[in-house]
Amino acid sequence: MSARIIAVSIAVAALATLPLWLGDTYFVNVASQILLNAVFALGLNVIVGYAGLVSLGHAGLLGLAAYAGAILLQEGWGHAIAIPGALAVTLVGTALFAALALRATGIGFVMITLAIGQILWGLAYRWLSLTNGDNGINVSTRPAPFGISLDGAPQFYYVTLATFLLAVLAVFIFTRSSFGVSLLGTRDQPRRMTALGYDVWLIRFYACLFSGLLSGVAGLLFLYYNEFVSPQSIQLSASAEALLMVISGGSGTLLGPIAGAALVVIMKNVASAYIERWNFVLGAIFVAIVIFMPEGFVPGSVRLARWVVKALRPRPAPVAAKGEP
Amino acid sequence: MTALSVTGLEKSFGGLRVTAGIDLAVEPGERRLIIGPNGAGKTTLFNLIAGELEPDGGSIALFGEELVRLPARRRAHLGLARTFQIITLFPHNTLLHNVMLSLLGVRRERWNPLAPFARQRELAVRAEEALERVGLRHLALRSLSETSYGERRRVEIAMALVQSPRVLLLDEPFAGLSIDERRDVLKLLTGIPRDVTIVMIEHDMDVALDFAERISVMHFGEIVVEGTRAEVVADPRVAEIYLGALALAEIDAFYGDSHVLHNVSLRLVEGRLLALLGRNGAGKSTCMNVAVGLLRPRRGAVAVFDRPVTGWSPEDIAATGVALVPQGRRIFKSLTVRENLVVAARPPAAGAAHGWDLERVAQAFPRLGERRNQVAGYLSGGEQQMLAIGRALMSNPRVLLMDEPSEGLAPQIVAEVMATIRRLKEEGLSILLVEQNVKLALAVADDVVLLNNGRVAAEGPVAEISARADLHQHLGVY
Repeated sequence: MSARIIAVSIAVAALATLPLWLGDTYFVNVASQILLNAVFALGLNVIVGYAGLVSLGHAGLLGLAAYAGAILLQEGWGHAIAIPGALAVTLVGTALFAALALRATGIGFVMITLAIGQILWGLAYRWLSLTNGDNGINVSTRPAPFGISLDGAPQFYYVTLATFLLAVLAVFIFTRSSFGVSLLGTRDQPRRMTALGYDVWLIRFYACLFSGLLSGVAGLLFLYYNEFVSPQSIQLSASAEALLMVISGGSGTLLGPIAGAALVVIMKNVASAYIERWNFVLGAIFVAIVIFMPEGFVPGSVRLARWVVKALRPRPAPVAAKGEP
Repeated sequence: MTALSVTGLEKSFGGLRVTAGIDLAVEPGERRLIIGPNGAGKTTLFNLIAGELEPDGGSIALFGEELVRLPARRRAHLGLARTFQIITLFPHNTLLHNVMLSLLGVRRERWNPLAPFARQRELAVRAEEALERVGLRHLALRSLSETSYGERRRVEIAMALVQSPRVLLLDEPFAGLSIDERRDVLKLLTGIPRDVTIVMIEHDMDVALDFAERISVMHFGEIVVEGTRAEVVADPRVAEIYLGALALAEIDAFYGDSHVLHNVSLRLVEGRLLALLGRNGAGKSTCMNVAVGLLRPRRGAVAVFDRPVTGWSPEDIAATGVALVPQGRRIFKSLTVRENLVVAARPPAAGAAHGWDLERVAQAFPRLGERRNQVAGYLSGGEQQMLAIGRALMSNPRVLLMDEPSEGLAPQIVAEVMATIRRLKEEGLSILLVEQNVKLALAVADDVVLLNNGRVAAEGPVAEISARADLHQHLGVY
């Protein structure tokens, strides 16, 4: 346990000092991207990993928050209204999303979420008067909490980091709580859980709301980071990318989605600078993960590390008497 | 007030009526057993009572409270708990976690998204008490995936008990358990206080009949007979319904033009050993051939666990869980012992514990284990017989047919073979034994059918048959 606390402390310290030792603004911005994508992946993981329901429409929820925030700002409301307003819109939207999608499980759930995601994308693309269509909406200002401007890359990074740490803590507490444990139960044995007196539907519904809330927070970070939102950022491939983050890192684990977000964002930003066909490399990495670590590379690496430690551990000499004169 | 009262309960799947107007009244504190052949609708009845299925008509009341309109989860809160025929637990978690989760299901705290589940002291204490009750407290922190099948059955019961149910539905709590485990579970169930009313579905009649006070017999979705143990056992309708593990009914069989079996009926009751006796040529092996599908009867029916299999191919009948140890062993002489066993391997039926595999066969027959890489043709006669039995067991049968297992063996080996047969029977296997050595057969049999010239000359429990004066006349000299 104490080893874990030390590891977490080191990680937090490294993240907190990251702008100091990374220096370059470009890399600090990449770090911000990783963290905001990690918040999104954490949210998606609540549904995919802990509830066992695969959603292919989550970029729509992220987009709902981003668009709601952008439109409120465009209409002249301040950040103090736009942020809670956007989250409220996302929660209401998620409630509708869940009410429709939870009529099914398994592949049915996937298809309904896919359809809803496409509807949201279609609205963003076609409802010109509200969303400005393909041109998207520009947001000219970032909020300035306590008078500190977030225009600089390190400043924005710290806000993202704080939000990210809060999200990790929230998910950590959630998964260990009575409710979180019940959610895991509905993933493993829904029929049994019903017989035990649990309301499986309502448990899943609340889990969707939590997932939607985190997606909404990620959506606002996304909006403020880019200072722009367009239909492109909420299309199907964005949902699929988030799903890849969760699954490649390790669904149903706390660290998996975070590591998956880092992998995808780094490939996208860094590798693409060197390799034109970076998508190909990303694809190859995913194939390798699926083949060698189907549980995701965080739990997979833990398994490998344990195996290596075991293999390296010196064994007692098999025949002690041998070699004696 | 009745604890559980079911009236006129109807349910159809498509056009098939699964329960047809069931009436059932269970008094508080009662132990009720529900028996009936496969497909009688027993589990469907439980699913209707528990709320997993919605009935087409009728009513279900728990201590006077109508349940039909309530969802399954509400019924749990009203004090209705159940176990499942096929164990459904949370395999990645500890036993303690499993039981705590069950208790949490009827608690308000289940909605708490903040307080850590593992630190709910009160839940943990009650869960530990429940584990203590089923004798598993020492394993509380073990992962469920590392426990045995029998232990899981007890976890199921602990999970039901921890909810303090008023009515407990047990769906085949003894299924797949060894004799020792059955005894433990029975003791455990007997110890449940009388403020819990128990309704149990069970196939193991010996254990279940001791436990229950009243018995309801279901057949084709109806309760046909209800009463005390004595009343039910004496009722001729029950015997009619219960065909048992293997049944031949009014069989006429021919080899070419020669009429070998004349109107032969026999019934192997589950978990018992039926000895089929008679002189050479009386039709014993023919009965075996009909039962396993090698010979098609011209008239009559064959049923395995109440499932009609008349006219089925031998491989389809084998797939229902019937295995034959043929006369003269017929092992594959050019294959090794191991290969002989592997070719017959078949996974155990769903819900069956203690599957037979190479290891278990080697344990049961140590000499086969020692010689596993030897070519089977070089084994001694006794070893070959063991191999033939082992090969049959590898298919994880529910019914074992043995044709002359003592033939051509030295007396000491014969004794060993008979001990093996007795052990298999104790483990719950239903066995049909054809044997020339009448003395041996009568020593291990529960029931006997005597064949004479292709007709059933006498049948009954072993004590009754062996006392008959004309026994020798049917069997000739021995």
